[in-house]
Parts: sequence; structure tokens; C-alpha cells
Amino acid sequence: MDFLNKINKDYKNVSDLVIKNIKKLNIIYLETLADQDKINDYILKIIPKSNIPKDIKKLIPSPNIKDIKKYDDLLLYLNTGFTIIINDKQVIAVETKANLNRSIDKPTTESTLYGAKESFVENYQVNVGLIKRRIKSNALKNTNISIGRYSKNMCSCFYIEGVCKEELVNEIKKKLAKIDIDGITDISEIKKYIVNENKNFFPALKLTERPDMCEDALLKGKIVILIDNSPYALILPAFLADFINPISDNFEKSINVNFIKILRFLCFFMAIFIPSLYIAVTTINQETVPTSLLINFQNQRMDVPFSALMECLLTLIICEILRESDIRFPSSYGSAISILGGLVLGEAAVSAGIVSPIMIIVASLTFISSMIFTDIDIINGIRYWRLLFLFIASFYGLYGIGLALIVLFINISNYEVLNYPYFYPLSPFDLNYLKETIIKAKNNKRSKLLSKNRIKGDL
Amino acid sequence: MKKLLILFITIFFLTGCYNYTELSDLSVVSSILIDYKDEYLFSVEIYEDEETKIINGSGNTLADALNDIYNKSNKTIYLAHLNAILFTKNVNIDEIILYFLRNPDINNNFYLVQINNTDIYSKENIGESIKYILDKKKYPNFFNIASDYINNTKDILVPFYKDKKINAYALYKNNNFINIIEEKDADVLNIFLNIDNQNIYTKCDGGYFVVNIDSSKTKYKINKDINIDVTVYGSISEYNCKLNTMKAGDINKLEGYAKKEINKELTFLINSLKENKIDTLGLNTKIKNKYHKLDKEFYQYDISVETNIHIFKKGFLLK
Repeated sequence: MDFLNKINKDYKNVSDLVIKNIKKLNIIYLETLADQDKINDYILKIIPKSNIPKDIKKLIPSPNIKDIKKYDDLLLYLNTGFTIIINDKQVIAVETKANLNRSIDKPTTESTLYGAKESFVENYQVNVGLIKRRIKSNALKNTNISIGRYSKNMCSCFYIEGVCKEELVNEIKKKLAKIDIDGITDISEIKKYIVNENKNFFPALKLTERPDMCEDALLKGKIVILIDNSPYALILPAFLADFINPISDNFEKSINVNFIKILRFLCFFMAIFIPSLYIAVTTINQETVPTSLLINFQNQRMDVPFSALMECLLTLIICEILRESDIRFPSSYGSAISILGGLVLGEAAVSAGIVSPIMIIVASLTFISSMIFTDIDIINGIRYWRLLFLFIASFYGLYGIGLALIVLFINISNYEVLNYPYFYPLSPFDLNYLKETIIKAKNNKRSKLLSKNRIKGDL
Repeated sequence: MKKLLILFITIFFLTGCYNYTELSDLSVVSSILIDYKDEYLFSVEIYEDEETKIINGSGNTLADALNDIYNKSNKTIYLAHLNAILFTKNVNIDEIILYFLRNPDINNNFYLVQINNTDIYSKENIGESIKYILDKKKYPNFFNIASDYINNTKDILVPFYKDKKINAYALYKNNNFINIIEEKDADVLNIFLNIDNQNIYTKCDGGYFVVNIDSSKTKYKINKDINIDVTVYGSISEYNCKLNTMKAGDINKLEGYAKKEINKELTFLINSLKENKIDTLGLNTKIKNKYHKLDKEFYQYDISVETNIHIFKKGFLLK
């Protein structure tokens, strides 16, 4: 009865708390979180017809009943949709969660031609099920940690025992346990508690909505973190190659897909330095362009009143605005953006003499190259480097681009995420991981950096 | 951030030129024409839309004349895309070579061409068409000629432009203009120099045939005498003989005729070069390279020419 008083006190102004008293049993639930039918079937229809045994667990025909000893546990169960039954000697929680979930949908941000067409949802149990359905082994371990003082999000760290390195698991567990915040609205919020994200402009950890990506990561010896109410999973550690070449194209024929994989690396660099290359060759190193092309550029630039750098910045900023509005705008209005962006800004800006046609080509090529990547964080990282390259190219031309390229390589190869080198498997070089990310080739060994259990299939 | 700041500061100190020029502020030069009449007369051909623009300038020195053009132009004169420098025999070739070698803004694949008429500019881009012709035939460019001049490896041959075509050479000995080698002599010289696409007219039984030279190789063997071995690969472009080119034996006969003809021409040319002591083939340098000294000049040696010809690509033939 002590618990009942406490509940009455703690839930004073909570409108959806229901307390019923039937045959000296107090039945407590939150009607917004609990399923009325389940409460009827498991509790309300059973208790009035039955004699109350000493152990009330025997009375309830529910598959999921928990004994409660502590008041904190009682609150946790009550707030997650369980129905609490209290008598003089015993307190139990019966699972009566309402189904507040959407169904499993197709991936929207990481589309693929072949491969699984399902993505995570907001429900934690469904997400765990999607992973467990793929790895049917008791070696798949997970540790649950509750994060958030008020939100109490269930966070789970998945790994395959014997494949994933223990040190990494322990480190992540420690970091997750240390998190002390009011609440978490999305999994991306816990990234900053695991690594110092702002050390580099490229993303440190990989977010995915695809369970098959998680499966692949787990089998490679990585860790997957899931959190309640977030339709994304966090994969760590992540390397630059994982962002450029996700596994989604691995389902295609290797001889063809390798071309695409190498093309993606090319696009990574193209997205960074096409505008700077244009600025360098048109303002400083004009001698490097074939004469006929130079004269063509010159004729196109003749009517533009701005300098090439200003013109380039203007076009890139317009493209960024277009991209941002395209992401935020509801898709049902989407065509307005395409018409405005494509026709008005593209065609009219050229006719009005604000930008040259070649600049539109340069900007389009840059943005199309960067759109190859699914992770928005890597696109944003590329944008930062693109601007840096642009400014340095306007001062020093091709020489400047060479210098900036050296800085870029130093930056990437110097960056470490959770003590794992970010430029792996290129630096340090690892042929096994290279065969799984940068190219697709026959490989029967795990990466030495990620797993001590090197031989695949020896689980 | 500190690293970036250091990088920016460092490159300001480590780099010299800040030469940002907008493309619309450039006058891209296609060719330069140089003449001398009491002073240097420069004409610069500039790309402008689909036509060209000519700016004339003059001065007591080459630098003065070019400076005059810089002053007359409302845009920056840009020489990095230069196609050709045309000059008359009134200008000293060594002055041109030395002046333009010193110019850092110039590219390294333009051509040096001699002309006899300064009134050649029209709406057509002359610089570009000269470069196109010379590129196609793989003629020596400015830097090849400058290299021969500086190292004194041979007597310089400069392509000679006349009537919108180039099929002659201006011959220089010790940097003095000697003569124009043209027509058949220039074609035969091209076989020695491996500049291809020459036609060799040869008589045969009952008619004639023309062999078009696709490629040629020249080997020099220097011992007690000099033996020049020329191998020519060609195809029959015109045929008016009784022999049947479908038969292997007859092809050998045709090769024999052509070989005799080419050998006669090559021997005639080499004898004429020997008589006039003109070393356009760089034979003295080859002798020096072999013996590390030059006891005898090349014209004191006996020179023989050996020719091999291989005719292939007979084409779609009826006989």
C-alpha cells in the first residue's frame, strides 16, 4: 500500500493514470500507453471470476509478467505501458503495451537496387528483432542501458562475442553508462558522448536505417547501438571508406561494381575540387587549358560582371539553398523547387548575365558528384573542404590546390575515431578490409584492426 | 585551426607571384609576326570571338616593340597559348630565339616559322592553322630549334610558310640565312628527318605508281665512312602499272623500283649537302658522339645511303 500512496502522490497531475480496485487488488496503468484489450483479456475479465491465489502471477494469463521489488522499477514499467497489480504482499507488472508503432517501411535515405527493402522503425523491440532475425546466434550479445533522466530511453549495444574486440565493447559500454542527460530525442544525440565529433568535418560515426548494414557491420567486428524511439542505428567504429562505399552495392556483380566503387572515390574528390580547379585554370593557370576551350570559357565569361570567384561562390550558395530547401520542403510541393531552381535560377541567371553557362555546369557537376553519398554529414564535410580549396585556388591556383590536397590527406590520415585510424584501410593499409570496402573482391579474412578472430566462418 | 593559419602564413612567404587575372581581361595571342625595317615591327594576332584581331607595334628592340603592343592593348597580352612566331629573313634568328627563351610566360610547343610576305593576316586564324599543319606532320617546334641552336648540333632548318602552305625549309648556317629548300628537295629531306606523308613518284613497266610514305626510320653508322640506312614504310596511293599487286612477286618488283628511285633521290641530296658543307642532319655531332672529337668534318667522309622499302596496305584492288 506504500507504493500506492507514492503513486498517488507522484502522479498527482497526470491525467491518464487509471487506478482500479477489484477484490482488494489495485490495478494501475496509464491508459495512453496501455492496450485496453490486453488489460481486459489478461486482468479485468479474469480477476472478478476467480479466487485470488497467494501468488497473483498464477492468476494472470499473460506471457510477460515481472515481479517488482523497487519503486523505481515500478515507475519504469508503468511508464512503458505495463499494468501494475498491487496486493498486500506482492507487486507485479503485466505487459499490456499498446501498439503505437508504424509498420516496417522501405529505406528512404539509403536506397539500393538489390538487397533487403526494410528499414528500422521507432520501436526498439522491432529494431532488435530485425537484427536478431538476421543473426541467429547466441554469440550476438547486447547490453541494455537506460539513458535520459526523464525520457528513460532504452539503449542497446550489440556485438558478436568472439568477433568484436572486447576492449572496444567495454569502452563503449563505459561511455554509454556515463551519459547523464534529461532525455534523448534521436540516436544522433549520443554521438557527441562517444566521440569528439567536432574534431573533423567528416562524420565520425555511421548512422544507418538499414538492418542489413548493421548485420554486415556486426559480422565485421563492429558495434551497433540502437536506441528507443529512433529509426536509426549507430555503427562504430566508422572509416571514411565506409561512407564513400557503403555495402549497399555489394549485391551486384563484382567486376561491374568495382567500377562504381572507384567512381565514387573519384566523385568524392570531384565534389571537393571541381570549383577550385575551374577557378585555378581560369584565373591563374590559364596556360593549362587547351586554347579552344580557353577561348570558349572567355567568350562565356565576357558578359558576367562579377569576378570568377564571386560568381562561383554565388552559384554554390544558391545550390546549397536549393538543396536545403529541397530536403526540408514537403515532397508534395517538391516540383515547385525543381521549377524555381532549374529553370528560374539556372536559365534566367545565365540569360541575365549574372553567371556564365560554364559555371552552371561546374556547380551541377559538383553537386551531382556529392549527391552520390547517402550520409548528409559527409556531404557537409565535403562542402567545408570545397570552400577551403576554392579560396586557396583563387590565391595560388593549381599550386594552392596541390597544397590543400596535402592538407586534406594529412587531416584525414591524422584523424582517429575511438583510436581507430579514419583513413583505414588505405592508411594503415589492410588488404582484407580494402577488399570489403574500397573494392569488392574475394576475401576470407576479417580486418586485423577490428577483430582478433580473423578467419571468417569460424564463429 | 592553428595549422591552417600557419599554412596560410607560410604560403604567403614561400610563394612569389600573385597573378590572379580574370579570363575576360586576357588577350590570348595566337601568333606574332616579326619584321625589321629600320626598327622592329611586331604584329600580334589575338583571339577574339570567332575572328582574330591584329595589334601592331614597333620599337628599336624586340622588348620595345612588344612593350608597344602591351601599351596599345586594353587587356593583358597573354602569350601562354602562342601557336607560332612568324619572322622574315630581315630579323636575326638568334635574337628571336634568345629573347623568347627568356620569356617565362611563353608555352613550350609553339612553332618558329619563316615567311617572305608580311601581309598574311586575314580574318582566318593564321597562327592556329600553321600550328595545326606543323603538329600533324610533327615538324620541329621552337624548343627543338632553340636546342639545336644552343648546343650547335646542326645547321638549323626553319619551316617556311608561303601561299597558305608549308612545304619548304629556310636553311641557316652559323645563324645566317642561306637559302630556301623547297619542293622535291624538301620532300626528300623530310624522308631523312622522318617527317612523313610524302609521295614518291616512280616509273614502272608501262606506267607509273605513287608510294605514300607512312613512316620512315633513319640509322646512321659511322666507321671509316658514313652509312645512312633509311627504312621506309609506305602504301601505294596511285597505280598505273601492268604488274599485278595481288601477287607477292610483283609487289617485290614494285618495291625494287621504289627503292631505286628513293635511293637515287637521297644520294643526290646527301651529295649536294656534302658539296655545300651543310650539316642539317647533325652528322658532325654524331661523329663527335662516337669518337669524342672531330678530326674530320662530315663532308670529308665517304657517305653512302642504303634504302629499304616495305609496301603494305595495298587497299581494295582489282589488279
